[in-house]
Amino acid sequence: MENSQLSHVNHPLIFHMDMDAYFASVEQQANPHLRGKAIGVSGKPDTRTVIVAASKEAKRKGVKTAMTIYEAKKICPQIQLVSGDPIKYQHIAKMLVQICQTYSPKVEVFSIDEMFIDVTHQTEKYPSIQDLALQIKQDVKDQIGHYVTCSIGIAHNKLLAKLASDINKPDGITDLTQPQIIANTLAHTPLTDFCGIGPRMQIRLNNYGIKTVGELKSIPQQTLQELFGKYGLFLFDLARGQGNVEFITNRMQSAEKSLGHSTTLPTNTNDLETLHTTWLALCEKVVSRMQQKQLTGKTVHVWLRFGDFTHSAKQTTTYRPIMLSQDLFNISWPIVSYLQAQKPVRALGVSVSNLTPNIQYPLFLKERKHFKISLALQTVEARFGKRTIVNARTLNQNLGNKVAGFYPKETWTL
Amino acid sequence: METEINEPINLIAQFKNGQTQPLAFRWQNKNYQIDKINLRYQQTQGKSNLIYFSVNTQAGVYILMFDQQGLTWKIHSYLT
Repeated sequence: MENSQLSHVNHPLIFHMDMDAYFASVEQQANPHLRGKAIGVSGKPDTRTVIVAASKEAKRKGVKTAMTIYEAKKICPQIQLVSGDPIKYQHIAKMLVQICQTYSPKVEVFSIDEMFIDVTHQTEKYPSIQDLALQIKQDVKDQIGHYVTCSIGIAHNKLLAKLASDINKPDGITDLTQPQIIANTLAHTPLTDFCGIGPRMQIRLNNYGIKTVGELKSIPQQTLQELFGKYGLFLFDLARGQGNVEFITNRMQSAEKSLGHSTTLPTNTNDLETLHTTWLALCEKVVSRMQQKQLTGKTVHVWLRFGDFTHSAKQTTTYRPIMLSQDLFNISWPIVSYLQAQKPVRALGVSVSNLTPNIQYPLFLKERKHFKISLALQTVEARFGKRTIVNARTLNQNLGNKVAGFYPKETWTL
Repeated sequence: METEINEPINLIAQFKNGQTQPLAFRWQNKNYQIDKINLRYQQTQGKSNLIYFSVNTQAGVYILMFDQQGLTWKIHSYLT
């Protein structure tokens, strides 16, 4: 304990808090009947969906995130499926951030269930770093519930803190501040366990004969830079257990670059009527979010996934900003019609980028009429909630919110 | 499994440490004492702020919903 106190005197001290089986443990906290059971949080019932999160019990049986329901049931027949509830997860995530902020003003939300906390100046109040981590874990249990647990990684930089939080799961604490422990850990950690090295990068590194951190460490900085550019510097530091210590706090988080939505169809189809209605609902969803954030955009990206799991995508940029769902639909639907002619469609999505906060009152009479209707709808939604008034055509197309791992910025308004 | 009920109820609550704590409710002429609050979460719906409570009673686990604007309580659903 004493050593771990002394070791950070001249270094930043960073915690990475990683929730254990987050969506599943929140469901188990809400419903005691689910505790101790293998459960899988998935999408809406009667839709083609995957396991979005598996409970600790299901993970022990081999169930993994993104498995199809068929695959999950095959290896764990007793698995109980629970339809995901983004509202629950968003609110609890907001509570988690608030808990972290009681310990430090420097909190970086990395995803809906992961955050970094800079506790460099907070340790004097606690007998040891581990005691501080234990206190945070206890606060999570007290304020949210004892079934919602987290693992905390402790290190001098974000890279190692994130690596550490994964070592002793669930409900663990791992301290990676001692040089000898860092060296041992790095020597035994597969490259893809590091945040920033994905399967594709692993293949590239393997092609250069780099399969371990030790081999990566033997490559000179200049060579890594020549091979990978700026990313080479990251790899050079990674091999030495060095990493970023800068925090992107909520206020500093960059503005949204694009807004989009996608859906998987109940069955693969080429039926234009079905695609037309679904596409209109997607456009309404995206534009509603743009309007909520008072943004307009000019670049539209359309993608389709076909029944054979191949993709097709296309994007276009308009000369004037998109403000209405009808605008987005008119621009994107011809692309969908063109792309869908290839094969039956399984899933489809649209996003708008090139976003700016400039909302201009339309010049032409017809557009002005639509714009006024849109403003009136926004006023109704602000008072009575979403989907109070909907386009008759999309009445049965409630796309809902997605159960995703991204921390939703709009939850700050909850 | 969640079975939707969505019916109004009469409820006794206490306000403690800045939080609403439901204690007991009456539904379909029967009284239910709340033994434990499992989880609380909230959402905004238009101007309304809805607070959900997952609660344990002798009769089972219920999700109760409090509409902060209308000051009304509902049984949202029953969990099995």
